[in-house]
Amino acid sequence: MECLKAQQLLSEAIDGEVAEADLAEARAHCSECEECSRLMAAVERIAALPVPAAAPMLVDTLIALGAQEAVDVRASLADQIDTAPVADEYLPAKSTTRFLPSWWEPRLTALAAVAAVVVVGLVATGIGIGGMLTPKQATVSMSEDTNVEIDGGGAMTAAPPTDGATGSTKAYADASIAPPYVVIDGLVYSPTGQRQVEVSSLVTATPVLTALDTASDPVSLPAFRIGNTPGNAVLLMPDDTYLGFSAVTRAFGGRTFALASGSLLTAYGQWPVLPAQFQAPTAPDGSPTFSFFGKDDAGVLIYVPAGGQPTAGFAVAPGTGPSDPAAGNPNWTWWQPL
Amino acid sequence: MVSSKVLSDYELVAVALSGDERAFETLVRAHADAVYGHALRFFGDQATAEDATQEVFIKVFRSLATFDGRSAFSTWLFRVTRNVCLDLARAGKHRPIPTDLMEVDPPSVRDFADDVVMSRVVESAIRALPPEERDALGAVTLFGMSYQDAAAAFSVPVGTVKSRVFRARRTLALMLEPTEGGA
Repeated sequence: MECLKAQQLLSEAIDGEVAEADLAEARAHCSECEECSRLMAAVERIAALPVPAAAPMLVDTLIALGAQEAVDVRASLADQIDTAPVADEYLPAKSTTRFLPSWWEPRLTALAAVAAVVVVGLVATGIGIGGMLTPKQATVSMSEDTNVEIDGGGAMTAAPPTDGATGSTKAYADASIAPPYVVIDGLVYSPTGQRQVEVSSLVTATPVLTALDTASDPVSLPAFRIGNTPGNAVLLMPDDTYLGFSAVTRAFGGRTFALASGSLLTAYGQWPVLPAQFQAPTAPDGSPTFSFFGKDDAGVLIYVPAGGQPTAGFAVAPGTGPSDPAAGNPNWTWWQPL
Repeated sequence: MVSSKVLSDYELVAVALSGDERAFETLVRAHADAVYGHALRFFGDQATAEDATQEVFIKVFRSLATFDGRSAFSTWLFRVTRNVCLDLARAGKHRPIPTDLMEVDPPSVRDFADDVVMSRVVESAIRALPPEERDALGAVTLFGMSYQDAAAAFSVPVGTVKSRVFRARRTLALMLEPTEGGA
């Protein structure tokens, strides 16, 4: 090997870009060539010297500049949130009509109609609910947290989780099992227990098809949002009591975003999926459906559709931490303004 | 805590764009030395290099949204740093202090073994290298760029970058071989 060739290979080796065989040959040459050996010793000595370092005071100044820039960025984002147009489907209902995103309405309307026909049919024929509907394939029992019993006459009583929605969510997240969820007007809710309500405060929502456990057959229950407390809803049970629910939420930019689901979650233990208009991403970075945007208020990375703004909703990748409201969900989730 | 070991530079930039000051701090701590080192070798003066470093980071912070992740962040940062230094020099705000290779005295055998003395001598010698060799050496050793990334940044073949880096190192080694008398 020629001297220059050997020297260049040894120089490239400092940067870690030489094949082992070439490196061995170059070293062999240097071991026999005094000039190359002396030169490369100097090269390696120089390469091992520390490079210039920014003074701590300069670094502090740069960090302060960065902090100021972060403040400016946040202010700019806040302005965008305040001034961004919000699509009608995200605005609160102004009357007692249902709060229903346009993409969801045809599906739920059709499903509610089917459910109503089935219930009417059951009553007319005197056949028990459990004997008419297709049995569900339960994957796990949650009876220790939520018990729903249907007596011989079709009356149903529900015993909500004893530790409230938050506690239940955490317990189930730890086991990577979906918490007890229902879907009301496209949003995911967790049970909070029986509650008293002012009927005048109720806003009629789409009836909910749910088993209220993991194993029973789903039935249709009247659902209502509580008008003056966003994110709260109730189901009217057959015994005329109300079972309370609260929306599963997270915060971004100081605002509340609720978990949406593209599936109805007709039994507990089912994970929400992305709404139908979103194709499930095929890559961890959200592509091709979403692109990375930033973080929510808890530091969870959020993603938006191409050209989208998080004010209109955002996605979260699976794999969030145990305290996250999406913990344990193997699917991407979609969060929309509450 | 935002960490460059947890997030890629691309993710870190995205987090910074959400207004997270820890992301800005992480970017500063990860790259301040490289930017300052390039500026110091370009201008040859600590105060000017610090001014240039601040200019670079102000420009980087305000241009983060234009970083599209198609190149490594270090490659993008190197381009910004190089352009800021050139712009400052062209505008006459700061002028590089000329250095002649012939003025660099070889170190003594004792100085050759002293990191502090040798670093000062080497940095002085690096400033005297031809700009294209100095930039290639800095892109690879200060910014940690691969030969391929450096080639893309300079719009030259990879072999050209390899040659420039090698020539820079060889020149330095030949100049700075220790002498019994030394400087």
